[in-house]
Amino acid sequence: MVPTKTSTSLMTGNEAVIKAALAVGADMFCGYPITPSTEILSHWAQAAKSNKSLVFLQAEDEPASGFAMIGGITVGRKAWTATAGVGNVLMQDPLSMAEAMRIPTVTYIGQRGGPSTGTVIYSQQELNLTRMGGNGEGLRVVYAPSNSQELYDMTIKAFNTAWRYRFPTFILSDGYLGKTYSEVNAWQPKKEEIVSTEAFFLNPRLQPQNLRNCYSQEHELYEVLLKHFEEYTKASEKIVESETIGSKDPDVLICAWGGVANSAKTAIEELTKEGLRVGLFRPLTMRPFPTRALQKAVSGAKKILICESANGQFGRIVRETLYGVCDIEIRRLYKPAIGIMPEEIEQEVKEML
Amino acid sequence: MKYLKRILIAGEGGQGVQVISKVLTDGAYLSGNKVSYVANYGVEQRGGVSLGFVQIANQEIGFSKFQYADILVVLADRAAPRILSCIKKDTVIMYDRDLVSEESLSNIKNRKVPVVAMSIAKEKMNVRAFNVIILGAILSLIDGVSIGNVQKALDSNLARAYVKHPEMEHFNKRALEMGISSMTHKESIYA
Amino acid sequence: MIQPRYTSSIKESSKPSNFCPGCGHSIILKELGKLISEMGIEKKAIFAIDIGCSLLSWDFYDVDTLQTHHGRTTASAVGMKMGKKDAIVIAYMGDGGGYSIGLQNLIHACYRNDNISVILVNNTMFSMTGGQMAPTTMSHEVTDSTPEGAFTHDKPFMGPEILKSVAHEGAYLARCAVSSPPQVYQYMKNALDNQINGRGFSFVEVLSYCPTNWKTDAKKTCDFLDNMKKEFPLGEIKK
Repeated sequence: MVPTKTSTSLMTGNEAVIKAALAVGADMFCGYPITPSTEILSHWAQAAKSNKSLVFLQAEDEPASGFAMIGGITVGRKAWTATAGVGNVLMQDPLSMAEAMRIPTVTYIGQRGGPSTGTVIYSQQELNLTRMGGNGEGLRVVYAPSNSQELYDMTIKAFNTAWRYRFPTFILSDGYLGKTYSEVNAWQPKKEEIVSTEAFFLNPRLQPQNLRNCYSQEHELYEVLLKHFEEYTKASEKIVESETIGSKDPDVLICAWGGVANSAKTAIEELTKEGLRVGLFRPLTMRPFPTRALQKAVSGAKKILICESANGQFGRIVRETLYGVCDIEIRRLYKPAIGIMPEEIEQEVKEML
Repeated sequence: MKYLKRILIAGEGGQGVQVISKVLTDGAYLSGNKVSYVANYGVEQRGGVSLGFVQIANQEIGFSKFQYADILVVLADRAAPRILSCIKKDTVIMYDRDLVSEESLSNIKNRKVPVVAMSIAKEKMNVRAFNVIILGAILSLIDGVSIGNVQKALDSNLARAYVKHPEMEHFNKRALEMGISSMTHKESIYA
Repeated sequence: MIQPRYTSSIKESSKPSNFCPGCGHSIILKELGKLISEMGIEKKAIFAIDIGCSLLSWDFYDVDTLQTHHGRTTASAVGMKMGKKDAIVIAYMGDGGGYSIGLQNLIHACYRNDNISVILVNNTMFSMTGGQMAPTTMSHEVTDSTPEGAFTHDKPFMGPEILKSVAHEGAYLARCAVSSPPQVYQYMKNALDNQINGRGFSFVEVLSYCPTNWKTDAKKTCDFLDNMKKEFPLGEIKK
């Protein structure tokens, strides 16, 4: 999909998400107000005011909005929701049902400080919850944008991925990303680039569907799960994404994701100017996780620096991926619920060398 | 030649910190710059500290927040302790002398630019014009942002407010001019 | 010998169903099946069910069916109706799922006058899990979680009456009992007509048998229901 510079303008990250959702054909939103994702709900309400083909529901709580979203999807709507923090916790109820029943959903998460009410501002502490939440096996797709343009691009991608592969799909953002005001190219995907919906119910092409998430016997559930795992593994090959930038044989390989990766890129620019050999490995999908790409990225590195605004939620995945693969020093810059500035990363790298 | 200006505007909730941050960003964008702006605030709707992180550059901007500001604008005593860690050697600190006490910035050796925007606004216009005077003063410290574009941005952002308070349109125009011209004409916004 | 004939909406291959002998669900579902067939709405209806004993009505019909999480049936039904206005959406649940965990959604659906039809089967307890107290448990009733029959209130939860206080002009709220299948049929028909005519939220509470958890024989089961009728008055609370 080649963007053409037809609609570039200033907008907040949350506005970019709405524009992208509309561009890719979303037509139903069910949500509940929660900072820092509330703007998604208000902007959609505005859009639905002028476009009567859009459906909007502000439900009585997050579980209600999640289940109403699922209801809409079963009758063929491209429905989605947005939440954050404790709302994300409550949303695991409907999301685990979607996971079990292979119902395509798109959920925007604006991470904020946790646990509990925490702060309304920012964090990267909902990584575990978004990747593996609910009482399931993490049959989910999680996209992690690092700036406003990626918020736009990945929202479009999320909708297509959800309806193509039918796993609950997420845009894992944060308070800063959602509220940063900067230039975004709001390109319009072509019709053939948009995956369309198909109704589960009242679909003249199908027999009556009896959909359930409850089984009487252990083996019934086991067989269903095996099938889902196989489909997830196949789909992962097509979905997984990452990038490795900077020095090929870095003295320090920074591992970071989302907004922190953006910070790291700025830090690497400065450090490279000073003649230092630094690289960055950044997953674009947190689930499926780019295991092979990470293992390849560390092969030339001398040391690793893991940066995240959480207490090791990302670090644990990195260490699990590298277990038995390499033995180099791993340093942790963990700042739960606090933004990490480029200067801090530069400082940390210099101390490591 | 790389150009990047990091401007941090710090005040109390209700002082219009976010409005002028946005207007400054819009004006800089219209003038052809790359821009980024993000707010930082707590749960309160009013009161509490309000920070605006604005970046204006001639190339792609990375992270939307920064540790150290090139220009720091302080508009309330309450905001002072929050921004002390954002000061580096060459940070220029602008502050309103009536709203920020000498003590809160006493140990700082940087170049300071005290202004009397609040008293001018109260005396000559309307207290609401105070933050636009500040906006004009900020413009006099940076390159590459035209007053015409800032004026356009101001009008566009405040169009709805002008319906309720039509007199502000005129006051704000004067306030902006007064703020920006003070550097060259040594007008009295500086204490 | 005369064989029973199933109406077209009822799926033969999944019979006999898994309900306990003497359960009221089979009576209600049979009436609902007749209703769906007679109204000719098999290809227009969606049947949403909870996870209590109502779960056992999964695969009961040859009608699109969605089994949801506990207490979330109403919210799912609302989403379906909002997503497809001409669908006839029926939400089916017990008194536990409806008046306990799902009460919030019932009140809000009624308050918004969402144009769905809710059928709530009331046997005064959470039966699937072994007969624990529910909001509708009557004063002094012994259940698995109230072995002494003790209560904080004298009156059980009066669902349709409470919903009436937030109901709109066009809402339909009624209560009937499985001891009179024709009345169950009629009230459910009124509810569906209410939806088809676009008048808004419709709700039918059906007092029902549960000999398994009431621990009653056939006669005592009927007596128990007669007793329930004294606490839960039958009739159309709002039409």
